[in-house]
Amino acid sequence: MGYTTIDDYIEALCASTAQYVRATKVSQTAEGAGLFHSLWMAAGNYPSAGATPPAFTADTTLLRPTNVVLGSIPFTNPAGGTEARLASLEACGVTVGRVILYDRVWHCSGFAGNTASTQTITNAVNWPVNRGTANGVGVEPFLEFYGAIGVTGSTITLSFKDPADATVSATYTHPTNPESVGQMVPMLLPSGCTGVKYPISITLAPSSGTLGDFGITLMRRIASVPIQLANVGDNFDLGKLGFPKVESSACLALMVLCSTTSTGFMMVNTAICET
Amino acid sequence: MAITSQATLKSAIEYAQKFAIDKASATAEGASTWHSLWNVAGSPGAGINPPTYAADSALMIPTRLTLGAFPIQNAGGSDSLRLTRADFFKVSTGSLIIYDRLWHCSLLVTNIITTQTIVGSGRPINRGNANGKGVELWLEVYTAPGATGATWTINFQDAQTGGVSAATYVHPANAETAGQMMPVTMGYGTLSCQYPIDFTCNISSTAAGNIGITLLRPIVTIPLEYANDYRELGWVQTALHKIEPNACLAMMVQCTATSTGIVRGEIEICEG
Repeated sequence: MGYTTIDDYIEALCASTAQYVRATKVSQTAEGAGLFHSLWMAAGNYPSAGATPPAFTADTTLLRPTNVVLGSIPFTNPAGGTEARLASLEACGVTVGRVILYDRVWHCSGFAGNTASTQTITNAVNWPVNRGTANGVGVEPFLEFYGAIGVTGSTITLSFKDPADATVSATYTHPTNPESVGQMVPMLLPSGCTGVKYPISITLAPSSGTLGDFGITLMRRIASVPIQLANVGDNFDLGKLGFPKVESSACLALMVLCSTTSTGFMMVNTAICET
Repeated sequence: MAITSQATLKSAIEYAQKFAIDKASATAEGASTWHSLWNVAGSPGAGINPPTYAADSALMIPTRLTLGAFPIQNAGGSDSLRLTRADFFKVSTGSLIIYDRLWHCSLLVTNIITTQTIVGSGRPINRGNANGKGVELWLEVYTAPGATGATWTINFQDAQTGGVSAATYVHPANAETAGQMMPVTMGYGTLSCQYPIDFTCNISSTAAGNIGITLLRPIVTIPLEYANDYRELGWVQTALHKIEPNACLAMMVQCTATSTGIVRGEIEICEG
């Protein structure tokens, strides 16, 4: 149907299809200020903790999580001919930071930190991003740590197909102290690259020295809301959010841009309506 | 009349139910804890302690008619109630949470390690999704327990998975404050909470206390970032959040200090 006037917005808010969910997540030990931390595997309510994603060798449809995967914020798909949109986002936590709501469009785990050999995703071409623009425009790549890797500094290179089907790469400089479990590291796209269609491989140079366990998470950010004061949340409405679309089958998840070495207990309210 | 446009919304707001809120300050546990305003004097008036867990009572499911609830009127016909405005002042900073109090009991004790079975388990929540989807499980302190650390386990029915799930709360080695509310993280894979089944302490806290279980659905959180200042959420900010028929609207504070501070404000609820 779409959204063209304020009347449409009001009608959508008052329709029986409006969905309200409050996600609650317990605090996680984070790496520190200015760094991202995943709440995917954090215990909580609506959702409870997710599971470690499939290994990069798994060649499975589970590489593309959806709204029915454990760990995703409960979300019912809109009816045919309508779109789901985020109408309100509130966050209140005991620690200052910024909460980011995103659609987890692709994820894997199982990369080893103790090898300098290229680790290639099995049949990656079979599992391109399939929500939103299917060629991956606007998709952000992150590394996500499920087990800490070693203390030897290393350059981690992600090779991937971009929306124009070119094979390009992004790099991350792993420092000489291991990332925290749950930390998410953004892989900055090369100049001119507009997104990620699917990842191809990971290479460390040199080995970090410890096996660990890390994965690739591809996401589309939907919205974010600041917690500027501990125990005082914030409320972002349509105007501040831009009424962003939530794709059908979206795997809604949370991460935190931290201000300290913990994410803090938090509650995040979402209101999603159909237009 | 259904709200489908600016014109119908304007008309609904014109006839909105308005409630003035004035709650006295209560002694709280401290920053980053939650405190119930259920039994706090003011407007709406103080509620009373919920029924004992050991007796089956219809009062375990509070409604808009229960003492302590906002005295809302249900919508007529097929209309729904919608929160159109929440305008609050608070003497101290923090967040005010308005919620629908779906189920409650009290008189669970913490100085025994035998399982205390909730007799009213035959009364599942009955507002909104009756399977308990989106329902949060909280503990509420009516009398402080002892100061011996323990793990308290609550078994509850998860109607979405069809099974019994367990949730645990770690009671610290200092007693909670009367009125404190503690959110309980439900177990891995839990999709709903329809009703609590039993409560068990693994170690006696050394004092009986009086603990209750409160099941709720949050409606809105009002951030109060400045002491002695107002914060207003209009209908865009509340997203016209639906309020279920017979909702027992109640409040709690996410604290920044050892008192909740006087809370004053207004809410408006329209129909459509």
